[in-house]
Amino acid sequence: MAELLLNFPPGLIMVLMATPAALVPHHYRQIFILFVIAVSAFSLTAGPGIHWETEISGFDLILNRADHLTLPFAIVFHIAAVLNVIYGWHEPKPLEHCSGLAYAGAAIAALHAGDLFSLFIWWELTAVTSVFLILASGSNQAKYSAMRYLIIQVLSGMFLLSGAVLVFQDSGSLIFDKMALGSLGTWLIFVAFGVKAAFPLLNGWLQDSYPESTVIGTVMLSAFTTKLAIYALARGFPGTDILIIIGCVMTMFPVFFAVIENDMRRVLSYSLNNQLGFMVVAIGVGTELAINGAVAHAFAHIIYKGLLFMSMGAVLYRVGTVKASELGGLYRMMPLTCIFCIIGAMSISAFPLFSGFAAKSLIMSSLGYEGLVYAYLILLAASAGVLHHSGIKIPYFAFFGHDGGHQVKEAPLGMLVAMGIAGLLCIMIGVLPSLFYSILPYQLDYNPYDAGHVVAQLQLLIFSILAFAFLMTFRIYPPELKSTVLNSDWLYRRIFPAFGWPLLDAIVSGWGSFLRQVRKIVNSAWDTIDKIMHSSWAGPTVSGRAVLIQAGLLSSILLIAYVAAG
Amino acid sequence: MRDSVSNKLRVMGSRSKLVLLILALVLLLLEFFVHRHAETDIENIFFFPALYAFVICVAIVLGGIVLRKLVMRREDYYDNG
Repeated sequence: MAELLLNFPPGLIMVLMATPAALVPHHYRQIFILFVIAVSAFSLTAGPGIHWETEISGFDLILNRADHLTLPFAIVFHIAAVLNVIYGWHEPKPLEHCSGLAYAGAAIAALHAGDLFSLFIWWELTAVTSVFLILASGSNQAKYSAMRYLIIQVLSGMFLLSGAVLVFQDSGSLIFDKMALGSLGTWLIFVAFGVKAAFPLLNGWLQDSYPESTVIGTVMLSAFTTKLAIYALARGFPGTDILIIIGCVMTMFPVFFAVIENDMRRVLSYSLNNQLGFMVVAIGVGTELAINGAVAHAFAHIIYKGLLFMSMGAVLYRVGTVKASELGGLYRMMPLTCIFCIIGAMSISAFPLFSGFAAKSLIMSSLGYEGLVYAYLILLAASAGVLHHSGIKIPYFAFFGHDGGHQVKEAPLGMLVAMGIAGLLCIMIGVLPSLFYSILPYQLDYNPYDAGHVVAQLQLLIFSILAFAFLMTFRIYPPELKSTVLNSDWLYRRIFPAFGWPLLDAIVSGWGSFLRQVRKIVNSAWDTIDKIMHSSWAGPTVSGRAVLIQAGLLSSILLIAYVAAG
Repeated sequence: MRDSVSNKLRVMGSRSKLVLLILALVLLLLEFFVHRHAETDIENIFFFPALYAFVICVAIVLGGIVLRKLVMRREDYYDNG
C-alpha cells in the first residue's frame, strides 16, 4: 500500500478526491482536503526517477516522472494548496474548495507528466477545474469573463495537442524534454506555453479573469496556471534566446498598466505578469545559475504573490471592494492584514532579508555573468517598477493614503493564519537562502548577502520610494480614478467583434442569397421539365417529380453497372 | 473622527518622508565607503542604482499618465460583454 502511494502520480489523488470532498460537511471537509494534500505530498519522497508508466494503445504514457526540476515546483504547489485551504476555512460552500483541490491536483500532476500527451490532459484539466473558481463569483461579469478564460485556456491546450502530434510525427517520440524551436510542432507547443505564461499580447485573459474571481478563488488561481507554464518552458525551452526579449517586454509593459489601474487585484495581476517576465528571461538565458533563478523566483513568487492576493482578498471580504479610489486608512482596523501585506510587498520588491531578494539576485547575477547588459538594465528598471506598484501602491492606497471612511473588522482567523504562514515563509527564505537554494535544480555556491550587493539593492529601493513620495508630494502621481483600462483582451472583446460580426453577417447573408439563386435555377429547371412532360408532344410519361427522380437514379445505376461490367 | 484619522495619516506621511530622506543620505554616504558589487560596467557610475531607480520611477509614472490618455475608458466600458 505504502509503495503504491509512493509511486502514485502526485496530484492525481487530489483530482480523484475533489468530488467526494463535496459530500463531507464543512470544517471536516477542510481537514479531509488537508489530509488528501498530505497523501499527495507523500509521493514526492519517492525521489528522482520514473515511478509510474502505463501503455495505452501503443503509446507509453509517463504519469509520474520526478526529477530536480519538478521537485521545487511540486513542493511549492503543495504549500500553496495547503495555504489556500486554511485561507478559505470560513467558507462553508464546497464549490471553491473542491474545484480548488482538483485544480491544484491537476497542476501538480502536470508537473510530473513525462510525455506530451499526459501533459496535455492535465493542461486542459487545470483549465476546466479552475474556471469554476471564476464562475463562483456569481456575477454576470464573472460569467462572461469565465467563458473567455475557458476558451483561451482550452485553445492553449489545442495548440499543445496539435504540436505534440506534429512532434510525434517528426521524431516518433512523445517524451516531454528539451526541444529546439524550428518545426511547426515545436512552435505550436511554444505558443501553448506562451498563452498560459501570459506572453505579451497573449496576456489579456489573466488581467481579465483573475480579478473577477472570488476572494478565495483569486488566491488559488494566482498560484498554479502561470507557474505550470513557467515549469513547462524551463523543461522544454531553456536557453531559447527569444525568451529573453519576450521576458524583457513582459517585465516592463505591465508596470505602466499597474500604475493607472484602480482595481487592486487587477494591479496585482499586472504585477504577476511582470514577475513572470523575470522568470521567462532567466529561462531564456538558460545557464544553471539562471534556471536556478527562474525556479527560485517561481517558488518565492507563488508565496509572496499569494500573500498579497490574500491580503487584498481579506480587504475585499471585509470592505466589499478593492478599488483604490474607495479604500484607505484601513491600517487601524485591519492591522495584522496590513502587516502581512507589507511583508508580501517587501518580498516582491526584493528587500534584503525577504524572499524576493534571495530569488531575484540569482537572475540578476546570471544576466551579469552572461554580459546581457540591456536585459540587466531592463530588469533593474522593472524591479524599480515592481516596488512602485506592488510594493508601495498596494499597501499605501489600501491601508494608508486618504481615509476611506470604512468601519470594518480584522480578517477572519483562517485568513490571518494563512497570511501569517505565508509571511513567515517569505522571511525564512530571505533569511536562510542557503536552505532555500538546496532544493533548486542545480547545486551552486551563491551568496546574495555581500555588502556591495545589499547596498546597491537598498539604493534602488529607497530611491524608488523617494520618487513615489516626490510624485505624491507634488501631485504628479495620477489620482486613482474609477475606470476600465484597456488591455490586450480588448482585441477579442472589441476589435474582433467589430470586424467579426459584420464579416459573419456578410458571409451568412451571402450564403443565403447564393442558396436563393441556386433554388431559383433548380425551380426554373423543374418548371421546364414539367412543361416538357405535360406537353402533348411528349407522349405518355411518368407522373410527378419524385417518380422522375427515381427513374433517373435507376437509369444511372443501370448505366454504371453496364460500364462497370463492360 | 474622520478628520483626526486624516490628520494622523498626514503626520505619518511627513514622518515617513523624513525617515526616507535620512535613509537616502545614509546610502549616499555609504556609497563612498562600500564597494558596490557591480555586475556590469555601467553600474560603476557614481550612485548608479539610486539615480537610475529615481529616474525610472518618475518615467514610469509619466508614461502611465500618457498611457491613461490612450487606454483609459469609463468604468462600464465593456458593460458585461
